[in-house]
Amino acid sequence: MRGQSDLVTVILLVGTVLVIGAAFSSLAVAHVVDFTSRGRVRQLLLAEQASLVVYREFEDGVRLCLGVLRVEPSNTRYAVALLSIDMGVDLLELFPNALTIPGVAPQLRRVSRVYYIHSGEYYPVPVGGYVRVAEVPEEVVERYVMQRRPFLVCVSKDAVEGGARLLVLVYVGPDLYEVGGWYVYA
Amino acid sequence: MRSLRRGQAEVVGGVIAVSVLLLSVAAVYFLLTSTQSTVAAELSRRTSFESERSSERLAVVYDPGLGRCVLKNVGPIPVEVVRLWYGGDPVDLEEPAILQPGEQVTQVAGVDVEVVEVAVTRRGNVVSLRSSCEEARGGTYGGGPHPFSSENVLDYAKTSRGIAEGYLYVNVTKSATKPYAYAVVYKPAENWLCSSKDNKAQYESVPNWDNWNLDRDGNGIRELIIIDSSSCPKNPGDVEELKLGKGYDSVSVLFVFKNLLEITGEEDTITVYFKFVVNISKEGVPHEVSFLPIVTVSKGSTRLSAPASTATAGSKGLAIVSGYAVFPLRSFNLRIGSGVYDLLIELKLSPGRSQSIDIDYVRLEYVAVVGARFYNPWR
Repeated sequence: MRGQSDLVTVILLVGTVLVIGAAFSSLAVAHVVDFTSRGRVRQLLLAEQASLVVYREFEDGVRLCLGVLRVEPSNTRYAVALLSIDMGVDLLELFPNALTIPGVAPQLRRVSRVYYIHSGEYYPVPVGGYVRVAEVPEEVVERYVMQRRPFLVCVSKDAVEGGARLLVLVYVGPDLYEVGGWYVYA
Repeated sequence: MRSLRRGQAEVVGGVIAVSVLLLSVAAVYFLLTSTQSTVAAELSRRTSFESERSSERLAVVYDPGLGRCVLKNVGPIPVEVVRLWYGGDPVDLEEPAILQPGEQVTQVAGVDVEVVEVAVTRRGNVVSLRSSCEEARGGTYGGGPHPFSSENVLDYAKTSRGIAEGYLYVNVTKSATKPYAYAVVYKPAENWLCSSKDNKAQYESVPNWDNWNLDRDGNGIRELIIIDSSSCPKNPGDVEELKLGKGYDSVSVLFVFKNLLEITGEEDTITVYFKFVVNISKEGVPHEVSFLPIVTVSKGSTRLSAPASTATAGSKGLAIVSGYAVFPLRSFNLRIGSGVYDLLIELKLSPGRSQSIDIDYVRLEYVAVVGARFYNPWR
């Protein structure tokens, strides 16, 4: 009887340790996976930042056209946001036609989580609710980005009288992160 | 059974804890190494791209024989024009117009060069054709800043566009001693030279400046030479170039372009190019001297420094040290404010195989900045 009792005790103890250990392992693995996945997102964004060139291509009295060039061809989905200098006002919400991509019609949509860069760190755009962005159409990606050609984004000066910050964004899942940008003044 | 009872649970728990710890450490380690390699690879790729981009040079030249402007590739690499602007609208070229080095054309994709407002290259350079043509014809000026800084910036005939406080001086430091030689060589609205050892500039007019030959090696480019500030010449014919001498374990020559670099804060990348000519004494050969150039952009407490990518060539007694330093402001979040900055180019010379170095002269023959406005210190 004594031997059976010891065996039951051992089974109970080992079983308990296994259950606690499995729970602890799951928690730790979840943390590690979360940490590494955020690290991989940082890597992806770092690579995208380093690959993107934004430059002033043409300017007249009514618009400023910026060239956006990806150094290496890639099927990357881009979107563009236009915010006030202090990031507090979504200018595309006020002026839906402020951004144009010559030759195509960018599709406007609202995104809940948009992040901009400040001193190397990402912060959510402090616009209450959704941020309106102009998506760069697939045909532009095929004709320009994948051909290593610069595509154009033009900003109407009527919409940016007090200055504006244009963000070039990439998707990571449903969220958008800044990888390039420009300060626009009328 | 006694052995079963003791320590079984502890061993199982310990194995689980150690496994989780190892897994966590391994995951973090691999993430860090992967991040490091990504950063290195992306920086290398971007630097290579910027180097190519900066090498693209398209010039609009007026050809008196043709009586019109031509577009010429004056750079070392082929240039592909992918978009033109004329009539206020962009026109994408299905087939890029490729200009080989040295090639010149009067039309791009069937469009007259003089009609095109702007040509855009595949690497994202923008060239204003019509306004450049008007400039080349001697017509109106002011078509905006040229996308490329020119070489031969030491040509005094170019204009600085007037930064009131801009000037250039040189510090020479041997080993750990204080700078002993200064040569302030510019002051606006006056002829120039010279300086004092306490770094308080004293300027003097130099008569017949236009006749002063600064092209010491006769290659068509005026070098910046270093003179001893204690022997400021009144006459161009009396100028004596500072000989650095021998017996030192290192020499540092610092060229300071004070308040001559204008940054708007919108720059993507700034690249600084330079070329030194170093006269090593008769007995020396270039590989016995180690050259380390460092480029710095500074203003107040803001200071960005980069060791330059350098190539050295030479034969007995002479070394050419040319290179460039890249400041990827945008890509790596080096956000700095707009304003007028100092550009510092330092060349450190130290012995290679020998115990000490023996240098005659150090001359700066070329300096150019791409991505920001660099003012000529000579006017």
